[in-house]
Amino acid sequence: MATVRISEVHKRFEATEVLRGVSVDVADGEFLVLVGPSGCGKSTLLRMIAGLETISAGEIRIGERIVNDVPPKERDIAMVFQNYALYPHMSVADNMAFALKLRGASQAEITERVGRAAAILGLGDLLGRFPRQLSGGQRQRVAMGRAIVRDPRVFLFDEPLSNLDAKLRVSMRAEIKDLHRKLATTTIYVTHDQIEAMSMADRIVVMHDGIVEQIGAPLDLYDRPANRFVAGFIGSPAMNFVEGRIEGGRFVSTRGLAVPLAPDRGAAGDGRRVVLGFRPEHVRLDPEGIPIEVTVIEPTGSETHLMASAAGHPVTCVLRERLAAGPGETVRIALDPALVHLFDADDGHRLVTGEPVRAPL
Amino acid sequence: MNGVGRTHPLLRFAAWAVALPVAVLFLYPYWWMMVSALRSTREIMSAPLRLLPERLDLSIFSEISRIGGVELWRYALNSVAITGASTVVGVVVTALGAYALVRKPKLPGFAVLRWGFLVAIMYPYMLLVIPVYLVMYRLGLLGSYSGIVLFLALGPIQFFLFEQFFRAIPKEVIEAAVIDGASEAQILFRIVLPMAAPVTATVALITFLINWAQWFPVMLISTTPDTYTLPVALLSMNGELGANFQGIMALAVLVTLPIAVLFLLAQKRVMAGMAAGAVKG
Repeated sequence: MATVRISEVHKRFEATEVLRGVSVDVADGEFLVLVGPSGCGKSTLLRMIAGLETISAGEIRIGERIVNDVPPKERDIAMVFQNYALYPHMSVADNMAFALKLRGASQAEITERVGRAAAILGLGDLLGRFPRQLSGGQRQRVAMGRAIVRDPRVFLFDEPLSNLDAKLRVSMRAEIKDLHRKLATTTIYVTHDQIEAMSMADRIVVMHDGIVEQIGAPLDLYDRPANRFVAGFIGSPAMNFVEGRIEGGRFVSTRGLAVPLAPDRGAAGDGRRVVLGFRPEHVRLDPEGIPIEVTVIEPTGSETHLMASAAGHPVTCVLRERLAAGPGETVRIALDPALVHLFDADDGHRLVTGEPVRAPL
Repeated sequence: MNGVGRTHPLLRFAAWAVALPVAVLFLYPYWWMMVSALRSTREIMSAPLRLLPERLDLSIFSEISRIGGVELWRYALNSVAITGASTVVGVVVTALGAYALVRKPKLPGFAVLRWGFLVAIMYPYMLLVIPVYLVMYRLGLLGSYSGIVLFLALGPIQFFLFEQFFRAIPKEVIEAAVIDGASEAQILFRIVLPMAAPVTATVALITFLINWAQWFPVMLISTTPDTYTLPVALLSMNGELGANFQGIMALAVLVTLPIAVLFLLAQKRVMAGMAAGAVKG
């Protein structure tokens, strides 16, 4: 086990700069998730930690050692790939034993370690099979087994669940989390799926366009997004944004929609151009509230999703109630002033940093 | 394949109705060749379309045991040796070359090399006479077995089959091996080549089939009949003073029969290899 320290790392592919000064400290035994839209540089960063990509500038340490020029096999890391990357001509047991064989481990040690990993992952009956004879979930488990047998200092996961169907993804998510609890190995996990990030991470690193937008615990990112990008990326359905300005302690949108603000939020400055953000799930029905015109209504059983227009601004609402309204009809909603976010209209950074915005218990 | 047995009887009849004439179209000339090997030139001329020989007379095979002053077994041995050696050299060289090209595509000159192979496919064979002759002369390989083997070994089609296969191997498999601690040599010999076994078998068989039938480079590079192969012997029987049809047919049987049998035994494998290259497995 080890810490990983990433300091001011840059990556250039010819003219394009994929990473523009990324710094992250990963604690010993931590489960850290790198999340962001495709092209944000998260996979590149992971591959640089693995040693599969060179580092253009900056420094990566695993433990105390600077690994910039250390080849992958000497970094003592293990990596699980999105497409499993199993050796197709080797049995499950041989796939898991390959690294140990290359290392010159004794047959007894190999048998013992492969047996232990197989037991942890429930692969005991599959050791003699070939990858083509396994299901997607089983293949991914073998890929994890191959990582476990080596007992590395750091686990790297590159979107390991993306090739699995939705149901399997949920159960594998829990399995990986449980595995991390048992092994307590430092883990860096890349995904583009914010729900995966929220449900698995000790801490999340949100990346965008080659920089780190915010680092924090999952609920911190949800409650206190540092900027408009993080606010829109974390949470599903995504946060609603309405542009406008602050007038007399209220928010007034460009189309005249007025929303009362809590005193600390109104203090951001009268007349200032801002973006109001509120999460779809932080909306409640209120006969005295803002009228919105329903465009699409999606009952999911447990809740109702509304796509609607508030004075011409598109908004999404998630309501606990079952709603009889149909498209074209008007319903009235209210926002809890304590649960709205304000962002600077120009650079998107969060304006109020005082008390966390949190859903009432 | 299981579906075939369950198809409608009419469809099966239609399939046979198409397949049979096509099969006859291809098999009849071969049969004619085998029958004619047992008939004198005179008999062939008088009743060319007979489906069975007048009598079973194998004396022609002793007649052609010596062609152009060289023993038939010598041609046969040359054929086996040259084809075998060029196949082995060809498979090894094109496999390693294609692997290197796929693994390190940015090495200087590789792109040009690839285009060179492509051009080699499009280039009319006969235009190669002078350059090949000159190159072999410069290398001092004119008239030698190694010259012939070298020329036959390097096939663009083989190269592209390998290249296509290596390209289809997910790069993550190789990266996983790198992280597992494998060296370049270990990646090649313990991961890539075992995966390439089916395509290697295919390429080997194709190379063997192609090179077995080659006569032009053999004639071009040879300086005496001592390095001639069976197809060249076959060609030399078509002399200025007329053709010994029976002899030609008898020799043609000897040249083609072993290779036809080899192909029939291995064709399932070849088709599987071709398909594996075509659709990413």
